[in-house]
Amino acid sequence: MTTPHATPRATTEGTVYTVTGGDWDEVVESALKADDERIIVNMGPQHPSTHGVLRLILEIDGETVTEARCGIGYLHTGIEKNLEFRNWTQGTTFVTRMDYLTPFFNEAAYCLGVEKLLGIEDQIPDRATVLRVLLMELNRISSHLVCIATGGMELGATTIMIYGFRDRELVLDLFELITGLRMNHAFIRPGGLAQDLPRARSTSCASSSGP
Amino acid sequence: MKKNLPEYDKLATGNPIFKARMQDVGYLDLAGCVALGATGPVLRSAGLPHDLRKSDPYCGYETYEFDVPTADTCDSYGRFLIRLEEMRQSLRIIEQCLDRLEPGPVMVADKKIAWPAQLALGPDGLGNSLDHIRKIMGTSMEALIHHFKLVTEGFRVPAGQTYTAIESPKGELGAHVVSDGGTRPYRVHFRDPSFTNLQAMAAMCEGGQVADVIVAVASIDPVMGGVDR
Repeated sequence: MTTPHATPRATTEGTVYTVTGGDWDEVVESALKADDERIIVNMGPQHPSTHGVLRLILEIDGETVTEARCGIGYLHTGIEKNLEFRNWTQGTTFVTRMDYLTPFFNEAAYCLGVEKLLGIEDQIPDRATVLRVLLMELNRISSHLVCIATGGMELGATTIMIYGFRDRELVLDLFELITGLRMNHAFIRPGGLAQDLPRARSTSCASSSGP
Repeated sequence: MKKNLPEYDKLATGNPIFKARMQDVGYLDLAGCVALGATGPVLRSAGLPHDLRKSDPYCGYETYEFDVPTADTCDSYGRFLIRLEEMRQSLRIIEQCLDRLEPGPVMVADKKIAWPAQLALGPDGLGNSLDHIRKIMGTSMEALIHHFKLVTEGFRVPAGQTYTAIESPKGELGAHVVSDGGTRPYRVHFRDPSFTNLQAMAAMCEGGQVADVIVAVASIDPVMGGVDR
């Protein structure tokens, strides 16, 4: 018994598919038939502990989870499709917004790919590569801090949340100094970087990471 | 930052409540990780020291000194410890970066590809440097045409496709870039680690308590902006 989740409909523009939300009806139907102890909990997509808009569909028996599924798509932005309508450099502006906690990694993955197609990997200046590594590692720290901070908050530990965001702020201040923006930098471009470091920044970087 | 990182150890690593909530929760062993394609801290918490910075270096990572932390507990607590250690390793890499910073250009020399102007901070905010604007507007018609063509139309990328993977904090972040030879991408697909790791959620949660689901999802660290794109 399969339900098509995308029903076709003919229009003057061609066939239009209406995408509906999964097999939720089936789940409810089978739940009605089952014994009373079985409950299906729809956690999210706006639950504070579900990392943004993740929807968890949990089938529980008492306190035990018997089936867990996730519903995604609540933050679909069409970034990949949009990339096809902008030039290669403008692409960084889109990809930096994908995983908004790791903008430099998105930019680096995209730009390394474009540079490979252009065949200019060897011509990227050393300074640009070192700065990319520097920014990516700073970004790794800020991303892990958010993970630990929000993970702690979801356990009910608010102190670790405050600590995590406090230290993340140090990293974001550096990003702001270097790129002009705290998030969504679009700083790594195919071919190098959008701009050089502002003067006297490497000292502040050292003092933030130093003892 | 070095001063602040030990605070997490003090606050959480030995904390009995923290440990009770996280140990043996969100269990996924190596076979499960490999079968589901999980990467990043989830995979390393199962004991496999897989890190693309080591196994398939890019951006010169092979020349930096750093360790890849692993755990053999396969649980949320192991992933937490791995993230803490990775932050320390990142600080090590940052220090090596600062030692290596030499003055020089930050954009490729090829004028057909390089963005014509570097950004500069002017009186009205960040934008094209005033020197550059003075040059293209006042002295060289060819430079103005070059700037206009490159900025509005962009450069052409030879037809072909490539898959580039880097190690993001969450795992393998891959970009599949396809070009048809034009000034715009034909298709760009991202293999986002949050998306792939989220598949492991069911395997980690089923059979456990409802409250543990939250811990397991937090240990995967999915970011929905990356999952849904």
